[in-house]
Amino acid sequence: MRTAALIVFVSISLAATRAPVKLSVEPANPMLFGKGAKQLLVAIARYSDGSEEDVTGKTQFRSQKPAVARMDANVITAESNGGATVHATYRGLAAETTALVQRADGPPPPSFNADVMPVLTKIGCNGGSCHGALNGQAGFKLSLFGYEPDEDYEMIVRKHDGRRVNIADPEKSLILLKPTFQVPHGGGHLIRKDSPEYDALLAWLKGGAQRVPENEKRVVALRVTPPSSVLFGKGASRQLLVTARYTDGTERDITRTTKFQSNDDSIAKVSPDGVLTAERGGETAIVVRAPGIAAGAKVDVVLESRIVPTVASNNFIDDHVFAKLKTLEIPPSDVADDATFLRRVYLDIIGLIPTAQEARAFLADKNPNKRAALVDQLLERPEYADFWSLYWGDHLNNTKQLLYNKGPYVFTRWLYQAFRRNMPYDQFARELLTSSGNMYTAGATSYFPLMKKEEDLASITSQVFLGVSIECARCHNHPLEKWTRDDFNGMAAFFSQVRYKNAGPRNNERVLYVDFKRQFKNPDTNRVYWPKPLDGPVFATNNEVDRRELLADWITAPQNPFFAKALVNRMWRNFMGRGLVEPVDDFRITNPATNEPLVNELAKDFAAHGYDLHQLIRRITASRAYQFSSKPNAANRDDKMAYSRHYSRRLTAEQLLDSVSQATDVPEQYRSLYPGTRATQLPEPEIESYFLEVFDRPSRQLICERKQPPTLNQALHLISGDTIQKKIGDPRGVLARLVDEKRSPREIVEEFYLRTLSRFPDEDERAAADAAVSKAPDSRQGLEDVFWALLNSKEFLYNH
Amino acid sequence: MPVSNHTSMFGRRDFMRIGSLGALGIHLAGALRAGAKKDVSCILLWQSGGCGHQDTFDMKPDAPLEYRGEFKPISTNVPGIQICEHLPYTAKQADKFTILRSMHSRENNHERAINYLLTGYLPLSTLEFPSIGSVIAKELGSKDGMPPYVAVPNTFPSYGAGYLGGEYNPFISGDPNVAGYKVRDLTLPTDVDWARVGNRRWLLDKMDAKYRALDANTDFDALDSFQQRAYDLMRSPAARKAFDIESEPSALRERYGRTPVGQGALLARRLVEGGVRFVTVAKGWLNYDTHGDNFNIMKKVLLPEFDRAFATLLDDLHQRGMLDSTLVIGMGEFGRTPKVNKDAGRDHHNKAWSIALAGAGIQGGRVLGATDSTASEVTDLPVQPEDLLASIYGILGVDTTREYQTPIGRPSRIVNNGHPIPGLLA
Repeated sequence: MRTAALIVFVSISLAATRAPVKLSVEPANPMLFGKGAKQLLVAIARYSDGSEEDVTGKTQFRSQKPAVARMDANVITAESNGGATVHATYRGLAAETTALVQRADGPPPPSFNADVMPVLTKIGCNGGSCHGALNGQAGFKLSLFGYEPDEDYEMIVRKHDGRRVNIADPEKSLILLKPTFQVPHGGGHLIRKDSPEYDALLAWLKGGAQRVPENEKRVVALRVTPPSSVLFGKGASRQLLVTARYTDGTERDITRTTKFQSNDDSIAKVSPDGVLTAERGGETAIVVRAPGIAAGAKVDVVLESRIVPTVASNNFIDDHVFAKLKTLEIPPSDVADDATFLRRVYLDIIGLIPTAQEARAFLADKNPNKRAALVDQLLERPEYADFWSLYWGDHLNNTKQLLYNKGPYVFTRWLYQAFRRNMPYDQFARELLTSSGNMYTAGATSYFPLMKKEEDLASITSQVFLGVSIECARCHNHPLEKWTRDDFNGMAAFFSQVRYKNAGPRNNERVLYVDFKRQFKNPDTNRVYWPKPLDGPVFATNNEVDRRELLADWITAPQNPFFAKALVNRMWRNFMGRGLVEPVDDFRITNPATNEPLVNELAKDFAAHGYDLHQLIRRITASRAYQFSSKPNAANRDDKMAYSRHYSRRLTAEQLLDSVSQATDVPEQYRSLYPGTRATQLPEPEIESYFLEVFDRPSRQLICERKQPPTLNQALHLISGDTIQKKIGDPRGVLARLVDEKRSPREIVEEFYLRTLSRFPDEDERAAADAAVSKAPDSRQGLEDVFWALLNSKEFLYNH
Repeated sequence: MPVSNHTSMFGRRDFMRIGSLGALGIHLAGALRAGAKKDVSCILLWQSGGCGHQDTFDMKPDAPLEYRGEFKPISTNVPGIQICEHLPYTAKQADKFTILRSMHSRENNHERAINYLLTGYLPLSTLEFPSIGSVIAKELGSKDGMPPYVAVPNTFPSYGAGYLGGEYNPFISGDPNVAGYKVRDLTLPTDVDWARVGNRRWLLDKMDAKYRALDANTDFDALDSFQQRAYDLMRSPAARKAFDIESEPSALRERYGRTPVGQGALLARRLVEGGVRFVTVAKGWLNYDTHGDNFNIMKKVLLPEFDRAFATLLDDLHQRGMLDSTLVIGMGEFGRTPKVNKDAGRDHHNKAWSIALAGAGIQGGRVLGATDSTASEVTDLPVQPEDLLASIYGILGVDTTREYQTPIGRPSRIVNNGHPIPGLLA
């Protein structure tokens, strides 16, 4: 087998005791608008090993032209128009940045949007559990995270007789009394009277609580500096800087008025002022929020410095995974042995474990390319098409609750044929999105069950094919993303022409046809929307075009920013146990991929190869990253997202039942289906099976990834349920046959291991099995007990 | 400076609510009730598919025939309250329950409406909300080693724990009406005794101990803990007793009715006695969906079995002194259309329907809420699913202002802005 990675652990001395080699100042060349505008500076020292340290507090800053830009510690204040270079010095190193001051004839005009709204967002007034809730809180309703400043202004200044502001005595305004808890406030004590937030609100109230339309501007972009950073050692910290760009072209340092939130504060915390602190090794993202807009910054935390050995890459996947592991300084696990690879790749590609015969053959095979050859064989097996029909049945609501009794059979057949002949994925999406005809003959029309309205189809299409959740935007602008209700309605408008008519005598039989003239009207507002893809322009269309064709063209175009990425991420999750983006259908700026270059190159590669799913599977399974063992080394036990080891997960309900059936040679019998039908082949989820139910077969009424937490019913069923006990004791089963054939207990135990774990038992395991057999009243019973234990073992229950 | 975070918010907020009276007094009452801390359990007789309110608890004998249907009202043991003639046993227990005639909902499709009723949230395609039973399981935990949430006979869509995670999914009882009923997998297979189990566990423990060194999966602790709980439950005489419906006198079993619903209600009572906190009892999935032949199906099947089960359960709980600590609810996800359709059926109607509530401090013998002359619209005391859930949680002592975080960090309250039904409690 390929050489095991050599892992060397070397402690290196702490950054503070070494000499830095380079100093830099952030941000580079800031622009300040208006007299008195401020900008924070951050100084970063870089060491020879590539690590960095925030040394702002220990750095001297000096402005070359204080009359233009004055320095107080690390804060620039704009004084007059012009440019001023700021020099920074730290331990003999120097760096500089040039501030450009504009419009400094006076202070920036007061603005509700720019001065007041950020405070409401930062202290949490407009959060979803406070006044940003759908119905507000205690009669006071704000738009969620400040998406609707006009409405918020009305609510604060005018609604309820303007009781929230007191122009005559600004300090007695309810909007100040409440968050300072001078009067009781259900949301608690949020700001102090000596805080900058209080000052900002008070200044605005003193100015007459104005909202002068020509002064109002909205944030069009947020820039976080640095967009990604690496922290070395627990407790290491670094200041993030946030710059807003407004509709009028001006910029402002809004670090102090931005809301920061860590996606995982067990890895890196962030203070209200934007200071990161390292907690635990790993990676996460910081969400930065200003009214109506959000952005993200990535953070990696490296706790201990380790030398990560250079491991040969099998393909570009490894280049990206190993680069990440180097950054995080996590040495990877060894490559898995043949038996582990064999079982893993069977489960991941065809959803079934290998038979004992297949396992013996593969383990004995001397061909150095046998892993790749095995993948090629599996892709051609009919079980491949069954397994992926099941996956897509889960994700496309293939259930009789939506498609009536016959629909799931028709749809499953369509899916099966698509995967059996490896239909390119762009064609797959197009056929589903644009199908018409009789629902009982044109299987792809199952994408459009009668019960789904335009809005449902907009939401599902975005989620399934684009990996983007826009459901939030059905009712309100998306709090974590840029999607608005207009975006949502624009997607819904692609589906307005889908209509049905009854066909034939059979109940519920319908024909899907296109009513070219039909427009999409939002049911709440009655407003007509034209089709508009996410991030795209409104489509100029007429009444002779099937809008779904336009959508399919846009979705499957090679330059579509979502389509290929969404699919490669889904496939990656299936093979690697965790999506590069999680949840797998929740791509957004504030939820970045753990390895952006990897997801990008996988997508590019997939599109370049004609959206060939087989090719993608070959690519992933050929990588060393896929082939890593799940056995942790001393340094990667806690890694859950860098892919330094394989992440095991429980077999799905269908994988488990099919594998138990195959291992025991006792198939399941499902009511009204052909004998020998496997769980993976069941066309819909209401076919009765206690085992499948208890192991979390999804209902397919919601589209979500399977969650498979252990439960009490499962534990009971494995211990004393009839599935396993019946199959191991069945007179037609494998044990009965081997006993009839007078095979020795040793041979039988070996066969059990190959049938369940795809490997031979070692001598300890043989001895334990012998002991268990000898403790039993007779050897048949003892062998049953060995079989039972194997089928209940974690090594069997998990795909590892 | 923000001083808010989700974990500490709850305690502080509660304190402040108690401290600031006046408009916030309602929270004080809730807090005191929760503080009284009586262990209350809940049995939900679930009418999946939607039960016709005008054919049961909100009859309109003066409406035109095409609205009032075939059934006649009868008097109950409470003067002035009339219910359907096909609920004669229930009529004799009317002093023990409240009829709420003013439920209404925003969903008219079964799956979505059921999801709404059982979770208190309008369904989303991206997030599964936890059902009432799962929230109660999480908030109140297990008692006397019994699973806190049991689904009789089975779990159905929207019964689950959603984003709370499968630990809070219902334990599935199976159908107690089958001859020789045993709860599934609670007893060893006939050819396996505890000595064999010992041999098997010895071997399995050896295998797992070896494997755990080879894999860092964090599920394994939970897996082992459920395995242990399973063995404990199998060996627990109390659990065996609770599920042993065969030990009930056959006269009582007959009174409950030899139907899945009747025996389910009886089993539910035994489970509550044993320490289970929330039990759903259903005939199955969408049984009440009578788009055709409504009156025959109702009078021959659905109403007789509900009648015996519901009435006997109330009487039995009362006799045992358990009614004060057991909330009993009979309801479905919506009502049925006021006007009878051409197939002698009634279709979905979510603008008004009736439910029945009893026990746990609910004063019996009353009608709350009202509908118009054809039972089409609510005219008094409109109650939405959110309000119903707020009431149920309040009665069981669950703090409804508590907030969970979904896996993507979306805050989600136990109750989505619902208010307890005024006047429900005595």
